[in-house]
Amino acid sequence: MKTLLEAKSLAVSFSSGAGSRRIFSGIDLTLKEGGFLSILGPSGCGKTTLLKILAGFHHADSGTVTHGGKTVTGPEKQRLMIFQDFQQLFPWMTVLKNTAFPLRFSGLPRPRREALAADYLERVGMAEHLASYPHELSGGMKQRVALARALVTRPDILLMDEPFAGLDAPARKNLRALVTNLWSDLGLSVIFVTHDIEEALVLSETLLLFSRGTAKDYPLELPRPRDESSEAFRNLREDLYSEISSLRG
Amino acid sequence: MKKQLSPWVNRSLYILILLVVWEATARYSGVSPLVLPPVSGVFKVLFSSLLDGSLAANTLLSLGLIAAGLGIGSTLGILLAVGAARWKPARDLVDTLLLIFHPLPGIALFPLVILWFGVGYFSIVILIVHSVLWPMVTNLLSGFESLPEIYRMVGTNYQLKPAAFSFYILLPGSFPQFIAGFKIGWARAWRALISAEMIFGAAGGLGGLGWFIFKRRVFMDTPGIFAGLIVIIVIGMLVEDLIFTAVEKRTVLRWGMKS
Amino acid sequence: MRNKSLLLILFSLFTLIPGGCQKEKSEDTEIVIAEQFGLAYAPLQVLKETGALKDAPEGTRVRWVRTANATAIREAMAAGRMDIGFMGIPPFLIGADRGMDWKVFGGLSRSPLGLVTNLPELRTLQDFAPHHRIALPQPGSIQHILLSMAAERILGDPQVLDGLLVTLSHPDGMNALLSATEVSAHFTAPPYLMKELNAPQGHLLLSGEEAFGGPFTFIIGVTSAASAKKVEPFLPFLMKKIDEACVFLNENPEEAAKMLAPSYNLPEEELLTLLTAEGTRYGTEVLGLNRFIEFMHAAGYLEQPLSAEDLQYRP
Repeated sequence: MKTLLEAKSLAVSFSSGAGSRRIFSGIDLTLKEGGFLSILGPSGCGKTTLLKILAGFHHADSGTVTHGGKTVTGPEKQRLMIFQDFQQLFPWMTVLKNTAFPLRFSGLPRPRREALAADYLERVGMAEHLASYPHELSGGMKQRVALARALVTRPDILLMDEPFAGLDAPARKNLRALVTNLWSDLGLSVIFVTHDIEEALVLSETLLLFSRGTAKDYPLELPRPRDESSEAFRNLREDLYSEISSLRG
Repeated sequence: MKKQLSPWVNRSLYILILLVVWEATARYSGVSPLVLPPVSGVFKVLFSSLLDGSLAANTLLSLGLIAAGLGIGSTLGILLAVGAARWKPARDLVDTLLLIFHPLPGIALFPLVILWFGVGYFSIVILIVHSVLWPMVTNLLSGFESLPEIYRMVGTNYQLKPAAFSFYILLPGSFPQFIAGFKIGWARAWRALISAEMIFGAAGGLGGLGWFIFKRRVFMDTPGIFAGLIVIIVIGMLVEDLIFTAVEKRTVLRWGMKS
Repeated sequence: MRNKSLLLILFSLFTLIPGGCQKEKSEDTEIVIAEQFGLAYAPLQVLKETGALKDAPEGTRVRWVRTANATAIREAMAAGRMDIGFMGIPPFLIGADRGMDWKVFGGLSRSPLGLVTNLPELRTLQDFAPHHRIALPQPGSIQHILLSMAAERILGDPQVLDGLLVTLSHPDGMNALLSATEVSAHFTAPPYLMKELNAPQGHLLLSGEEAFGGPFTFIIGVTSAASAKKVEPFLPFLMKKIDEACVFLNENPEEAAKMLAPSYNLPEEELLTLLTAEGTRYGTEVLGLNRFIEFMHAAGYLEQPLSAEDLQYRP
């Protein structure tokens, strides 16, 4: 599989008042086409900052990010971000219009755009809410729509920033299954940020452990479908817990 | 819990009480009818001037001038605000203009407007535009500033061009503030119009509602003055209830952007 | 709860209603006199400068109020808040016609009035075309009635020029005329009249006396029947003082100009020219009341058949 996105020795520090604080340094990562890379780490360790750098919203102090061989200098629609914030949908548009919005600049006629949007909304299980407005939806439904909107233009890469963090356990579980299915059905390439070990284990092909300003690849050999009650899964989870604890020091 | 009735039920009750108090005062307090005419007399004048078409023509002219002023004022307001949001020097210019013109009452500009633009409809529209434009710009800018950062990020992620971003995200995202600005503009436009018409009078023989009231005043037709005021009040109520409420129901309330 | 708030609303309504019934009593009788600003009111200015009203009959105090136009005086007198006012004859007649019980107690001044233009193509009233605009203080003012009189005599219809009218105060009217926007002529009074005539191309289309067909009193003094009792002891005194002030103005204009220059904010020489201009005359006689009544009734500005006789103040 060919490499889609590659980051080399990224380093970021925030200057605050007198001195500057290092957030992370020496981060390398690679996403292959059709890959699913999770960045796993505790809250507040700079995972979101890293993802925004990959997206192009922020710039690293040093290091490079390349997408398809080209250096990333800013956000691009081929690399779409799905945010943790439920408010990422536009409140003045219906679910259908929100989803069809990115296609507005594609040159497709409107009926075609809306048909495509409806198709993706069906894939995320929102076919019955086309005419609803975002404020009428639950958090999980909003994130489903955000997923459909991100998929409708078929970007090269999805960058997901803890999109299910604010949801209750059953909703999270459903959405994990949904993302796994979409990933395999549509052949997506995903970088997924999470602080939830199980989430990372259920979803990922490759795993990057992120802690105390450094990151470390973690080999993941788990057959799909992932069974959370299997012994292999449980062993891996235990191993990951101790790994993370040792990283924290 | 009491059942929620249409606001018109309570409102009609209070209006009725007001009318009864008015009529009673006019009849029994010994106040001259030149100061407070009875309700009946006022409605007689109201209906006769509505029927002979004079009041209707005055009203239509006023509404036309207000529509023109609101249209031009809002459009200019949007252009100025969007320009200011996109381009720093424009922002500084707009801030300066706001500082100069926003607190300036239209009536203070009359002498200049007469000197520069004369005393025709054009001058009245200029004054209405002045009274609409600045609250519109202020409201839109505050709307732009309170636009959630995440909409900006989504727009940037899709690489929207500045014009598309302004049109599809910035403006609809500030719609509640736009409506608030429009409401202020509407109220101020009336004030500007009525005072302008009472100072300029009529151009070319036909004047608006302000002229109607002014003419009644100089000929000491007090019921006529009240009739003109009633028309203004009724228009205000209708616009507030039918137009603004309907627009809000269909937009900011429907979108959950107004609590 | 609800009843209480209702009562409160009713109460506040009643207190808001203006009434002639709640006049505050004090030991002194206060007489409120309303005037306007302009050279035609010079006798009143003389009274103020010389303090001539200080020796008013015992127990009488005078309070001066200046308003922007006759309409405001009329409204205040209708509400019982003023006792004596000075204004042109037509606004007085319109009030009397609408039912105000008030009387003329004397004249104050005659003044040159005139319709001025700076457009060479305008020579007579016949030259007015639909695109021209005539500025004057307001419909029903003496300027408007004089224009109607001339329109009737020269063009055969008193209202034929009404479609060209623009309501503007004297200074705004002058600015509009001189700035060459759509105002093509201005019916005005001194000092605007002289300033406009001295401007480039300024010329007189019609004088007040031509329009009226003779001399007439510009400003009269009026008192309301509601104040009759209050003003009765005071009015003869006031009339005498006004008369003296008029004589002073007519006979000693230089001295008067010196005295009044600061309050009119004009150079002494200029004020002297204005005080002695042809057509300016101060005096308490009332000229032209009948002719105004006749014309305004015939032209439809007055509905009742008023009689000049009944409108005179009699103690």
